Amino acid sequence: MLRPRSLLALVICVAVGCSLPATTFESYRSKAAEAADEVVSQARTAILTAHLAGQDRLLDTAVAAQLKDAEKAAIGVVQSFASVQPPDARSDHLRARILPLLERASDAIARMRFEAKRGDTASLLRLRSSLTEPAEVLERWAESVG
Amino acid sequence: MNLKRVFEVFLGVLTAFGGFVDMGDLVANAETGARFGMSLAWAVVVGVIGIVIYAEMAGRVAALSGRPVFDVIRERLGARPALVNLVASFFINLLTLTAEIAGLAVIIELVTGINYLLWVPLAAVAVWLVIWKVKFSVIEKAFGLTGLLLCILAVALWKIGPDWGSLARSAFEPVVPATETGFTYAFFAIALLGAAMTPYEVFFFSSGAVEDGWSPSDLNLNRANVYIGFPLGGVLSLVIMASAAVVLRPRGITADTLGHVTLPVGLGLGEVAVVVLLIGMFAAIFSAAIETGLSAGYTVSQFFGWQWGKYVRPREAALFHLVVMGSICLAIGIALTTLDPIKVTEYSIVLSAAALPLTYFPILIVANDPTYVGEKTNSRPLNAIAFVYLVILLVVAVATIPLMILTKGGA
Repeated sequence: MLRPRSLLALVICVAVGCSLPATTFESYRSKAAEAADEVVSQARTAILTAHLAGQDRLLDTAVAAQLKDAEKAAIGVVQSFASVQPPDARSDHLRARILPLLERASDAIARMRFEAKRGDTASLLRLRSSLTEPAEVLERWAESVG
Repeated sequence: MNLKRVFEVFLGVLTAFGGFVDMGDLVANAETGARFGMSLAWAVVVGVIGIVIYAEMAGRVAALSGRPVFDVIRERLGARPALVNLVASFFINLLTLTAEIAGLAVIIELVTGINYLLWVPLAAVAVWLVIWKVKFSVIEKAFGLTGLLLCILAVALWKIGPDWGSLARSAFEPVVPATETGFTYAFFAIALLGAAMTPYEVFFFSSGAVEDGWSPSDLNLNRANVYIGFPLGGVLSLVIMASAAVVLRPRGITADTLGHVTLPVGLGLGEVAVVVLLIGMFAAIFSAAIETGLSAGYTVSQFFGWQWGKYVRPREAALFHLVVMGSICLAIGIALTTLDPIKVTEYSIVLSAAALPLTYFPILIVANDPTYVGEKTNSRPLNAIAFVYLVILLVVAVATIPLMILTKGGA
């Protein structure tokens, strides 16, 4: 039986979204899919923001702030997924395939933020293209696992 | 009705309209639009009808008895149950105040590029200064009317030219998207209900009625504000949801920052419109921060029977102002812990929904009590709807925490 304090801690932990360990390949894959979805969302945000920046449709400061938030969220997701213990060899294989894609996307968003801070819209738009591919691969994979 | 009176009512409606949307509405509607399309539009409608009923009763009680919500709650419930009510309401109000102040700081970051945490104390001091220095009627009108700049969202949506038929179908034939579960759908329905029916709005509305010296002759003004102003504000909430549904959802973007609200306007209208939107968002959130700050003082002072309000000099309502100031300091402290402002907003609106019966039920009872409202008790049709809402709010109160756990806070 859980003590009331432990139960309260568990409820708070679950309520605020703490992640529980992955004990099977399926649960690990589910975590990978969640991470992919989240990074794709941040990548698409960065792509749309860069598109608007390229057409002078957004304040420069807002572009940089939006990219900073996207970068922060993406890095958080990547770090969180990277720290999950893979439960078996299949999970190791999955990790080896997905984590580099997540890192590539997250790194591209970070580099877009640098260019936005420098006010270099041309480089920002170039980097946008480099983000499209990992985002699409991640999206297709996340869709395929449902 | 003379022309001056008509103008006053018109201004009141516009103020209620412009002041309806706050941080909670911006966050909840953008997030649900991006995740669920328009399939949760019904929850906004349910929430707006609920706040109309709730605020009309509270405004009527205030106009006819000269007594605001918490004064009445203490008298009807007795000191101890009312204290539980006060603690819950104060905590949720504090969370909301934190979310509003952090929201202001985030908007300043979008304009200046300087991290929002640096702006939190300054934004909070600005809120306090306005509460301290500026007249109540000026606060209400200036920020409410500037909040109308949010209508730029509707212009942007029109300019983007969405498939209106598809939007309408998504709203009128709601289905849970394949990417979501029934639990997250229900959780966000509660979030939208909480965003529309935030308790502080009613504390402020009824206390403001007393501050403005409402009398029975102001009942029409009360009705106009809630029956016209609030639903127009609800339409604005739906526009925020539709903008996210049209621009963010097809791109697989989850709206998890305030900046996401600006993207559809940038896409539809460009940079100048984004500036207009940011001014409107700032005014709307500033107004809400003032209202929540004042509500902290209203609820505590009315419970303990202290002198309260801005219609007396600060020296005469020292404890009231002390509570307001203390709440703002606490909100600064919470915001500076670096808790995500969007998460704070989500929790504040969901917990608001869960706590609604605590204040809604006593007002429903009092609005039927001739001792307070004379002959102007609830009509039978109003009572029928009000009791249906009581049941809805009780179900929501019971379901909120389990849903929060099951969905990991809507993740």
